[in-house]
Amino acid sequence: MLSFIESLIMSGIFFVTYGLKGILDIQNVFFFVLFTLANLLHVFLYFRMNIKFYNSLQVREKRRLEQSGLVSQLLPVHVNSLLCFC
Amino acid sequence: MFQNIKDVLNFKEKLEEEINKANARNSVGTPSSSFIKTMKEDAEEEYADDEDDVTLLKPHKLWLTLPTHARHKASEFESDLLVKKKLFQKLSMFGLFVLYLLQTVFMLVIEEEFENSVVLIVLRIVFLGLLACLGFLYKLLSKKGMRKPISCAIFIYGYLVTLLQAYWTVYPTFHRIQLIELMLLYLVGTHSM
Repeated sequence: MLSFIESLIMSGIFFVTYGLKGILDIQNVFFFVLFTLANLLHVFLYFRMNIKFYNSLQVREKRRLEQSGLVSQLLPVHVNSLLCFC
Repeated sequence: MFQNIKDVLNFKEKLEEEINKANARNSVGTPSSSFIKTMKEDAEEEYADDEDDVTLLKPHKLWLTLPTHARHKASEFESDLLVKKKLFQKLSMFGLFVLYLLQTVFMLVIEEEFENSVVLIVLRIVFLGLLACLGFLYKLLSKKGMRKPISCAIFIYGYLVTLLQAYWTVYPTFHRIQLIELMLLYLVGTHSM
């Protein structure tokens, strides 16, 4: 969200300064828009992938805790301490 | 003796029948598509249960904003992300600092190509100072929760300085170089938040 706002502000400054200077030609605009959109898309995908990764880590951690709890219940105490099923 | 042999043969036949019946039962028990489907559904239900227990992050589909009710989880996720990105962010900021410094030195050499060269150089030196402060105070700002807005403000200032440079240049094709510099700044700016 913040990246999007940042890119909007940057676009505003770009169009104003380049427009006032009279150098707002097709090459500049094309390069600017293409790069901005590609970068925004990359930020979006990267952030979404990180959220998915974090969620799957949470589920795995929960399952690991469940498994270690079950194993510690099944084994006698001395075996548990020997094998370090904490 | 014949009677014994006859009994053994009968027993053998009975055994074969039993084995055939058992095989037939096993062949009936092969997993059909419906069976696999129910197994998959069960697994999905189990995963859904996990999701309910762990309270996973469910961001907005378009804006990817995290919900306020999962604020603790969101802050945990952000700190996790920060640890992962720490080295990359420091390296990219250092690279940007070096590039900006080099270009400022280059600008000092070709001072007459800009309309307000003194103002531009001062603005660039201020940006370099802010960038260095951001790099050094990164940890402190992250702890106070001020890292995102402050880095956003610093990078917007950087965009302004870079675009002003393109505005005040006398050299005709210098604005293209400024555009590349702006895009580099934008790349680092969006990925360092």
